[in-house]
Amino acid sequence: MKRGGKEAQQYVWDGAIPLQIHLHDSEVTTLPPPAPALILAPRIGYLPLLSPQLKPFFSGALPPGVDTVWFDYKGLPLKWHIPTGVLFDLLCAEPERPWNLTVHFRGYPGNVLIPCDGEDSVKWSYINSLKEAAYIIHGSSKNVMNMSQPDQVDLWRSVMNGKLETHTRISSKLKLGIVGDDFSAKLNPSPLKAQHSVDETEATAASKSSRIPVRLYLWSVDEDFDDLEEEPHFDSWDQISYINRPVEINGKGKYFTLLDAVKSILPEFYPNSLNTIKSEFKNEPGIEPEEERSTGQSNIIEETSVKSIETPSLSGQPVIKLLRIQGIEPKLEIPFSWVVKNLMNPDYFLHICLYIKAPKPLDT
Amino acid sequence: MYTIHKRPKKVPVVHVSSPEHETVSMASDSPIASRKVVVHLRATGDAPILKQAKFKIAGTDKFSKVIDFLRRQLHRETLFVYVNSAFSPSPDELVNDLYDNFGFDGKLVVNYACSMAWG
Repeated sequence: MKRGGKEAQQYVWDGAIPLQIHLHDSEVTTLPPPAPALILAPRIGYLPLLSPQLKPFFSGALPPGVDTVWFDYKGLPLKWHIPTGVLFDLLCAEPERPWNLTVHFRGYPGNVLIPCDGEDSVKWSYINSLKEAAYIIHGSSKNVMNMSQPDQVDLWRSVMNGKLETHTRISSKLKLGIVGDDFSAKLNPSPLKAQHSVDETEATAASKSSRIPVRLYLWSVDEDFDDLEEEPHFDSWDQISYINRPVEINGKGKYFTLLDAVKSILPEFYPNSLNTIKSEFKNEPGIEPEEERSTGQSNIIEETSVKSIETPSLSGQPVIKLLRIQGIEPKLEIPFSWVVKNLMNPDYFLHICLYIKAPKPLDT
Repeated sequence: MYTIHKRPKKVPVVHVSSPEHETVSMASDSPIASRKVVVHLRATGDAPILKQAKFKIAGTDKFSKVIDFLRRQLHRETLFVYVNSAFSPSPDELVNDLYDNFGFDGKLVVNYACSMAWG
């Protein structure tokens, strides 16, 4: 087994969700109604890409008209530009297998969903997301924009067909790699990096990039819900906050965890994160708060949360009820760089689904 | 047809913030939550130039508000809207996030075109 290799990434790329897709009642014109369609939908894929398989299955039952395919889950129209795996992780707190979705071929809800003309729209959305990620990492989208047309087509096909090797080969030309931290340096020790505790500035200078593109889907509640059997029901996308804030990984090689990353994304919820990081880890067996963490941490946290420290508006600590990435609920103390390298989507964004319970803000 | 348009003396406010994102911006007294972002609208290709190119918009609004505003101004259903001549963000992204990630010189540059400008 190759540690730190591509094994975890391959699992992500092979990941699929069994779907049971029902045609919406209003569009059924035959008796008996058509049976539901059973499909394995790739996690990294997008729902409209399933329509070539679904159309022949349901076309016989449809009323006359023009097809515009869209899906809903318990009445909520599904945003097609969000990867299928993320939709499942976000909307199905208690994973339902198969996942029961409803397909519609009429009555596109243009007020909720952006228009979709099939594969071209999805490809366009993917490339745009990739350009946005490149902009966050490099400060420009040029690498993606200057891709040759065949490369762009091949890259897109690698996503559609789940070909990790092709994707890696082409996307490596974009130079979107991320900088390692202390943890990855230990996994792949090199004579140069071994010295970086002595000469930290050199390690920083050698770092390629430390801004990680993150899309965070946040559901926050202020009342208690103790187990996920009372899982949330989403009637509207307004219940979910969509947060796009990059995470800075400090090139100095400090141990930067997934929890640290979440805190840096959400200074509104963690106004005092400087003080809390150490105390939380005291209760974790086997994890010693490193003495140097407090100093290293301040570099990262200061930038994002210094403004809100002045005005703490929460009466207590928020509780993370669920944090799910690629169907996994990783421990919060694992290194963020590992999460990024292995669990990011092919658009170079790390998509995080988060349920958080936060005390009500104090009335002012 | 490209004329240098005068910079408006006063930046008008497009819209007041909507309460959609209360959960995120719960620190309502923090500077970020109440922040207004200056959006600089730039025509690309054959798109008509707006008389008023700079607008203030609540940071808690979604990017879709900018798109809708442009649609109304230009009376067009199909528009291509970009940030920094580079990419089209999702309409769901918050103006605050876009400004923090891609803004410079105190503003967010939004380019619009009637046909696809940057594939």
